[in-house]
Amino acid sequence: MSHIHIPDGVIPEFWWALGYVVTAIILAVAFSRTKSVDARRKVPLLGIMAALMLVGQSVPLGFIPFHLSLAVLAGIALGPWLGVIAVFISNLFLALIGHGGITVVGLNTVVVGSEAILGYLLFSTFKRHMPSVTVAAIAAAVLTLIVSVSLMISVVAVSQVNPLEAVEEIREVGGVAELGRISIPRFITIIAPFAIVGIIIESLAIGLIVRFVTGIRPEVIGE
Amino acid sequence: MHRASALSKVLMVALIISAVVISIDIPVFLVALTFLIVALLISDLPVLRVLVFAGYALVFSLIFAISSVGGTLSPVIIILKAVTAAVSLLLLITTTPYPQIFGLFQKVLPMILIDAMLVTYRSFFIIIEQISRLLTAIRVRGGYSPVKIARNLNTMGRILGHGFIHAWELSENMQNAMYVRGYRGGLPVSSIARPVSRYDLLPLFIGATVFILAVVR
Repeated sequence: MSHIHIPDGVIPEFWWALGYVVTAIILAVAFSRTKSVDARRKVPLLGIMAALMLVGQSVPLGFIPFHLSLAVLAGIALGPWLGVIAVFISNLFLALIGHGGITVVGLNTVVVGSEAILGYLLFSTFKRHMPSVTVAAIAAAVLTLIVSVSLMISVVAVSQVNPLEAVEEIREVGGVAELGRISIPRFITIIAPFAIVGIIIESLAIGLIVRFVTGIRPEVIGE
Repeated sequence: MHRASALSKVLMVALIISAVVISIDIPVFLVALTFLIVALLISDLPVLRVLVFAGYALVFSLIFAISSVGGTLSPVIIILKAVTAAVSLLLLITTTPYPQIFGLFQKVLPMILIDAMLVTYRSFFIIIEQISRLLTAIRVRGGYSPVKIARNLNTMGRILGHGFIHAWELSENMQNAMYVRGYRGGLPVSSIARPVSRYDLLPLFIGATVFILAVVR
């Protein structure tokens, strides 16, 4: 849901390059945490979970410029590391059909990947202390999505400063001027209502999916 | 464009996206879009349907375009950047089979990732068809009512849950099939790549022209 739909060429090169570097590090850790034989065995599962996310991400919620991401569900079902890999695959596919810039795939993997990692951690904790897995899934999804939307807004806000130009500006005028490409207060005003509706819908969807799945194949979500 | 190699088309997209990144000049984007639409036309592709997909990028870029009113980057530039990049990528994927693109990625990305991407590509169509069939069945049987929101949500949860279970079982079947066929990592994709030929001149020309224009202006 917190997928950054920012087009190519709006965020300074430094930030999207940093996004790719961070993503490469996260993926390297993800692959090292998943034993090679285990990862090979889980290739179909990984691919199909990424496809399911892609289906969710390809359908906007009516007129709302938001969509389900199902990254929290990927984290719950696959675990945090395979979940992050699935997020990277779905982001790359989305970029290949022009859905979000190809240069921001790295940043998107960091932001949406946080949903898989945090979603897994919160769900694992909540299901031990809450009356049902449905409630645990909804609570984990709500908190995770609030964090990831905040992260997405932070990325857009931070990217208004170009560090490569900032060094020069500090030397010459003693301060840093914003790029002023995007008004962050206006950006937050536009997306806040959509984000609230999106968080409610996605959290309910994840809760209902988890409830349905636990009734039929409880082992899928570690029950 | 269908006859050009994946390499030349990926290079074209890389050059156009580089131009999109560095340029803030409207004529550069208009020239790029003209070239891309002509390439779609001569490739005998349904231009309007492809542009509808690009409209998706346009809708989402509007949030950033509206947020940029009064800023250093005009909203029109933001929209043009989004649409130009989207159309170039759409030209690539509508004229190049995905496995050929993955064949190129294979040189830089881990093998397991490429295999998972191939499975994603194949499964996407299976899952989307299965969910759309399920949606039709639900509507036909009166499972959807515009006024009963709680019931609709519950139904939607069941549909998505069913889709999830189906996807999970699909992955188990695929895993067994791959194991039986001796899968040890590395699905063969590079062997079907199209060789470099004279047809590569067009995408290279488009990419180079747009990039040079962006640099010169």
